Amino acid sequence: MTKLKEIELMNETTIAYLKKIGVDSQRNEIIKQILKDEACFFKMNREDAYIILKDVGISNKIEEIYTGLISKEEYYYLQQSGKIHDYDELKIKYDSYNENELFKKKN
Amino acid sequence: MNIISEKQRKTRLQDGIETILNLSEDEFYQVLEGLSDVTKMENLNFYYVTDPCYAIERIVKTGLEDPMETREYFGGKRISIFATMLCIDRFKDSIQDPIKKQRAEALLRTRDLESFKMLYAQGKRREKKLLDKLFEMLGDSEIFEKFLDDQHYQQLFAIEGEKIPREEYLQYLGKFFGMKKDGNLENDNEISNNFYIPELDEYKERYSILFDRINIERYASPEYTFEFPWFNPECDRVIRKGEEPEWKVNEKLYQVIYEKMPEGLSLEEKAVYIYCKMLETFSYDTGYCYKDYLEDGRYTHLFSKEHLEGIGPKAKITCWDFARIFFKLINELEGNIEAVIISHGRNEGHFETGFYTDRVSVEVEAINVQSNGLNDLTRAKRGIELEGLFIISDRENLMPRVIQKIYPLIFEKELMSIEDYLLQLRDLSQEEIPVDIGVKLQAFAETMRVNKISGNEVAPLLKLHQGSNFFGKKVEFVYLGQPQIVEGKKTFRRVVAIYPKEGEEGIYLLETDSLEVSKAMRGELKYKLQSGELVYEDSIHIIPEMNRGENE
Repeated sequence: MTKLKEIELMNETTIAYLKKIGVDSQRNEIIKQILKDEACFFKMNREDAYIILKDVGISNKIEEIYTGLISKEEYYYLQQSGKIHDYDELKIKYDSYNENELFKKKN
Repeated sequence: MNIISEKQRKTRLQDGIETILNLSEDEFYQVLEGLSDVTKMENLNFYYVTDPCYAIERIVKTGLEDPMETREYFGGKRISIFATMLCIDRFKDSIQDPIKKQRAEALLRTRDLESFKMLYAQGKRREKKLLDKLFEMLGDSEIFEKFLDDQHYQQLFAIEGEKIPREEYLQYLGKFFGMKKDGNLENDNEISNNFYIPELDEYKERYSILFDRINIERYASPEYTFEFPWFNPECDRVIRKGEEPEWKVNEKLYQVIYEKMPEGLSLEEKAVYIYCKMLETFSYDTGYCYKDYLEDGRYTHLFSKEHLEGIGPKAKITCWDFARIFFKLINELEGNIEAVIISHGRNEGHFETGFYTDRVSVEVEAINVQSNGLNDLTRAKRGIELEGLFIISDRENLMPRVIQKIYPLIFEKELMSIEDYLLQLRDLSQEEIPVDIGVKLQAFAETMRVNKISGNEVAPLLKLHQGSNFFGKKVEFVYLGQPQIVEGKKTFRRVVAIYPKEGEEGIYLLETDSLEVSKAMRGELKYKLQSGELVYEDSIHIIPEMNRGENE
């Protein structure tokens, strides 16, 4: 299961919880739409990401969870599966995989 | 053509060239003829008598080897014509013998710029003049600047009074010099390898400027026009304008597509508008999933004019239908735009489409699902970002802006971007939400149920919730086993006990298979642990202070 999917499930649980205790869940409904974009955490700054993670119900290890969501591996996976495009307005980007850089001869 | 030298004196190439210059008259003219025939594009291979080969019993002959008597050499380094001619050019001035010098110059003429132009002119006078103008432009900075200013200087590039659209020059340029990758031009192409043009670097420099200023990708990249190198000719194909019989779009459908199209849209905007209108009006024909049960051949891939002309607004369609209707509507647009149908897989398993203009090339997939199991037919109706438009080329980053402009015109709602959602979120106040472990656990179990997650798959998610303090800061989780008999054999199912470190006496139990949530007092739980009705999963993670509540 992807890290983002886990966050989506937590958000779903929070929406269900808020409905049960009669509290407005509009924030989490908006977050639900945001999380549909698999690259969403690459399209927002840290501040907004932290707000979302808190709203989802995370109050511990936020930095660790956030770092995992915007990792290089996650970025490359999204790039290779066509979920991140060159024309996307990304706030977090990594250099594209350059195979010419891989096997440089030592001088 | 194999050139065999006696023994190594200098480098293989230099020895080989020396051998050519010393060939008999007949053999030398054979070499000249072979190289001059650019339709065959013969190469020169340089060997020594002592090189390893297959037919070692054959008689060795230095000079130009008869191809019928080749000894089939293996190994050795391939040397391009460019490298060979460069070597000749470099040392020709040092040649004293006038005959050898003439031979060197004759060799250089076999693959010079003129011979390159002759190859592409194919004997046509007009083409030759066009290519003369093209290379004149590449070799002169003033003329080059005028070429860039197509609006004011088009007449300068006319051929014998005939106006030549700049695209015609660009087509040749793209074909000759290719694409840029990581900012650098390709060097592995015909003009670079098989010809020797001393001014080539200068031409490439100007082409590079042109490439950055004008969208030559259309002419330099086969993928732009959907000639994909990965296509399997056995089962993939592209259908272009004129390759299928003519038919007419249903009049009612035509009206629905065009009745509200605004004036003044660009070609790219029109294409996306048509796409979105089609997404709005059509839905997927699920009957296709049961086609094997039908006897009437309703879903055959054979072209049917009657079927296509009968598809009206709100029809249920398949990929075959969608691709053809889009293809037809786009190709009817006036202007420099063209659509194709792309057929994939054996027995033409799937159809999609694509279109290109001078600015963009886009693959269009309305039917196959993208992320979250949704295709564009569904996404459009729910106001979710479209994912069926795959960019092949879009240097100006035009398409996102096109989609942002067109989408709301049809669906009367904005396609929300992440930034739009974040703005909404910032406007709402963030309140402190009270934590009720029991209710949260119920909500968690509900989510697991809805997403069909149960048993062992629940544990890692629960750990994530625990680690992030989802259920509160000081909440403990202990894993218990509940014995049961399954198919006559004893086994255990996992129950998770969740309780606050302080305060509440009750302990919540989540049974991970059934996702049932219950609550037990400590005394009750202590009894179950003592009687074996529940067991700890390990001896380290236990519920402490089980003496509390003993008398309840």
